[in-house]
Amino acid sequence: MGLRVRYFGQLQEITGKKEESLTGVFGTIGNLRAHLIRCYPGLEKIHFKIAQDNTIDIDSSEVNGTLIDLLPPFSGG
Amino acid sequence: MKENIKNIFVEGAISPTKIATSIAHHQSKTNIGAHAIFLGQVRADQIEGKTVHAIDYSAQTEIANQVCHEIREAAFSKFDLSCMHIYHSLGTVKSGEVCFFVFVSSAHRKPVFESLTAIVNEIKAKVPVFGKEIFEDQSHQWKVNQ
Repeated sequence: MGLRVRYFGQLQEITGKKEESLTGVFGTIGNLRAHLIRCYPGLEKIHFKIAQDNTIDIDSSEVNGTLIDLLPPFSGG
Repeated sequence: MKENIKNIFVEGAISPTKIATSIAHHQSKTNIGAHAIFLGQVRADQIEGKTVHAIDYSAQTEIANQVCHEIREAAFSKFDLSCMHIYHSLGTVKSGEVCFFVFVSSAHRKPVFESLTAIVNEIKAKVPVFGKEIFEDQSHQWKVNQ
């Protein structure tokens, strides 16, 4: 099943993309994180959270959503 | 429960008129005896000889609104509050303009002072909003919260 991956804030500059579609079996969020860092080595320098289907998730969770968001450090207010 | 989730975001700066109107709306709520307001304003920081001219805010709005909803519910259960309003800017806010508005009301002062600090700190830490600091020469850097 395809994943829609969106990049937020400075992660758009690092990847050069706002979003993209990914196909493949990643297993866990942690594996997906490792895959994305291999694709975009600049991501390694930034601490980012991963959300699936609009909920921030931990690396040990299964990838079972369709919408993946990469969120850099928060700086609101 | 999704229907209860409010949208905290407003496009551009939060105007003093909006803040004044929000205060005025509470005049009919005569059980309230105390309001506390936090206003976040964009600072013209000097960084390596360049001055911040504006902050361009973006957000993952679905998660941001959900997390704000949870912060709001937790504050209502912990503190004796009559009402609470939270607004944050999206898009460009110039230095000197207001980008963040939190307004809590109660019968007495103690709950509003205590809850306001907690709510503002929680929002800064947990809500996925991203600030891009734009300098006068249009270069930029990504804001880091202290």
